[in-house]
Amino acid sequence: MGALTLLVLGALVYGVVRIVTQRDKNKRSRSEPSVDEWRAKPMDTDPRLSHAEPVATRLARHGSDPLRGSPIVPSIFQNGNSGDGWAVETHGLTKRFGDNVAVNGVELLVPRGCAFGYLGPNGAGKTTLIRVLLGLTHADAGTMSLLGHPVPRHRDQALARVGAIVDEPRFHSHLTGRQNLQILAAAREREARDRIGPALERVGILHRAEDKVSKYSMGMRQRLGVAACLIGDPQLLILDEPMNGLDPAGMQDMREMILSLVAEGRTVVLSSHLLDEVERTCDAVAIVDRGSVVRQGPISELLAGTSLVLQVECSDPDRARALIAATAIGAADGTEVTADPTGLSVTLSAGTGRDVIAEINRVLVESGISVYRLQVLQASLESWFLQVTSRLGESA
Amino acid sequence: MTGHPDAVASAPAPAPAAVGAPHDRRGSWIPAGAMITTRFMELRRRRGLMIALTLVTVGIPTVFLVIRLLLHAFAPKTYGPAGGYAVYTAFVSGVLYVFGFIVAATLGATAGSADLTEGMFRHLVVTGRSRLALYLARIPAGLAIIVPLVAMGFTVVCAVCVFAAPTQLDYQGVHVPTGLSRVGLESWAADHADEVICNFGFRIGPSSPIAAAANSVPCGNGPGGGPVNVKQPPPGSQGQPQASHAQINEAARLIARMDYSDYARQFLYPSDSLMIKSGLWLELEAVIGFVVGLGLGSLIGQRTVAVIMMIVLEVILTPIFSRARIPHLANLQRAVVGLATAHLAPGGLPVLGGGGGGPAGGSGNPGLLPESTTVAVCVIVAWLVGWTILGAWRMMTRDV
Repeated sequence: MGALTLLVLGALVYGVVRIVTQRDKNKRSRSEPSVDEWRAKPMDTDPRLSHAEPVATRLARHGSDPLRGSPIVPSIFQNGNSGDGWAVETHGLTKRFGDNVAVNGVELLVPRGCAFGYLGPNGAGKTTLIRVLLGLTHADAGTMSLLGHPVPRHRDQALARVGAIVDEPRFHSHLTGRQNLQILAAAREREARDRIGPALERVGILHRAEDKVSKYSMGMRQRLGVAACLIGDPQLLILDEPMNGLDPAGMQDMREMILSLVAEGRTVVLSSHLLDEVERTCDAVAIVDRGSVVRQGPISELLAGTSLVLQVECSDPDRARALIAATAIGAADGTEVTADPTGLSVTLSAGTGRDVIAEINRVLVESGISVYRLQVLQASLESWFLQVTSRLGESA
Repeated sequence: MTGHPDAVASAPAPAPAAVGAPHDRRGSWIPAGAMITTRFMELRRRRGLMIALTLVTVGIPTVFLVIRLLLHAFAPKTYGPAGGYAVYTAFVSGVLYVFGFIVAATLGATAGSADLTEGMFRHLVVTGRSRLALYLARIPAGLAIIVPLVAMGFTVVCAVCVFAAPTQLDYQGVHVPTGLSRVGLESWAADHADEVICNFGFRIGPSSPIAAAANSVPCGNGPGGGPVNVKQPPPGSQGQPQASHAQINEAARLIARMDYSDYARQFLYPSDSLMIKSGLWLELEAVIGFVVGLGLGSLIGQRTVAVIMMIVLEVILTPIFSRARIPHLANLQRAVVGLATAHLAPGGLPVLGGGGGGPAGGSGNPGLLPESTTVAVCVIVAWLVGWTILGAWRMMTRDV
């Protein structure tokens, strides 16, 4: 009997110690080295990608290779840190599930006050990264901070001003929308309860606030998810596929809402498959593939590094193609000329000036070919995204 | 947004709040009052679950007792009173004890797993609130439901058993006055010697002075019609001389003396003391069921499996481990929480499936594996603390 009592008491003491030490361990292990320490040490990252080096070094080295040299296009990133720290900053962030590396040494910098797209094919590790950032699962290596607060060391302070939707927003279906928000507000500061009404109004479901969530459509649940983010008065919103389930009008409303949130000075990180929506909504993007960020920067600057396509509608496409191919322009690296029954398609390397287009026009006209129309097509985010991810796939 | 296209532009932006304000203690492991009240609301709004729990805890005793009341009202000679001491003990130890535990475990498993299965836990974690606080908030919220629920069912049973109790004590088929002392019962027995000898149970040897008296009293089924303790006089005693009236009276006194301990536990209705003790004991059982169910539900993240495991524990494993004497595993058996609570049962209650309680309650029940009160208390505390630690640990480390 005494042995049993000792055994029980021992188990109790062990359990208490285990919980206490687990909390401390979580705080320590998930933050591991400081940012400075991390920058000073080599990282365990995919050798295919050259970003396995300190961020500062990579920023300084920017511009060597448009596709593989540096994943970071600086500009607003260099200016995006307003002194309070980045909205999101990760260094060497790694998350493994057994042998599968879902997040592989991610280096991510999200400037404050912008809409930031986080793009990647299915299974690229987008949602896993978000879950790691939010403390829903622990990282195996690396450091991260939200709004300047290191996570998970100061997780409570960091998440106090963060709102997030991860995967599809799910709620207690037997409760009304307002009651679900009351539960979430109770876990936040006292003022959060006062924000429930304005948040519901802002997402446009105030008139359905007293309906049970089980009666909500997918789109309404998305809106309720956004409202759940807003009750925390977030400086940073992380939205994982917020357009899912929305009709075109709903997508338009969501787009406007994101833009209005950004206009208020908040930062919105938008994970989405809908590249067109991201292009219309976001100022900057990061492309993630196979767990690693392969490119990030302002959309305009990223696309500026891509090739142009010049569409030429003319009278004799075959002769025109031969003429251009014989010039210095046609012989240049990255130039490709193809003919079709209506005209030419001339692919020009990134950074091609307007004088080159004028020269093509001059050559054709002086050779007696009638030029009906010249149109320069800038690569879209979608085509660029496919270009980036497919090239990486080929080299793998 | 579609419904209110202007809302985006016109609605006021959320008011800024003071980050790190003194009342914003989201890193603390102590749950805020609002967390408990909203968790209470979340559980209470589960209409199906609440109806089921109420039916089992309150409905079954109520329906059963109402039927008994009606039967007794319409056919009092055929059906006895609806209440009384015997009905009380049967309900408390046979229905409320088992059902209260299962109901509490069901609620606990629901509270422990619902946030996970319904995807709400992610939202809660993202608020930055301590996961330990999120877990601990469920305990008072759930107890605020289950404790009154068990109390309601118990109150119904107590009310009927007291107010619809029989007016006379029916002890072994004989109407006996209640509340008699040993001397009083002996005196009453001397005045009703024939009824006592023919109906009360007693055990005598062939040379006992009762034997002669018993053979002198003409009973329909022979003397000693009591239920268990009768040892019939030997066949050779038929030729014994008839006992005198005084001898018969003395024999009745002796029988009353032998039966007094059993008689002393017979009442028309439960005493206030017994009802208070029984109520607290049932609430203890419910608290254990809830806390263990909460921990188990949180640990495995599923309600159904957790509830099934709790039912198996309560209905199958506990009776087996409480009764069986397994060599070398007695201490392990004593670690079963059901046995510990059975030992803390108030006096006069039969426990664990009608084994019959002794004067000291479960601890006096010869059928139960012996266990000291100290050990029983330690086992219960260990279960409460242990399952809370397990559930909290899992919620703190779980990937969501």
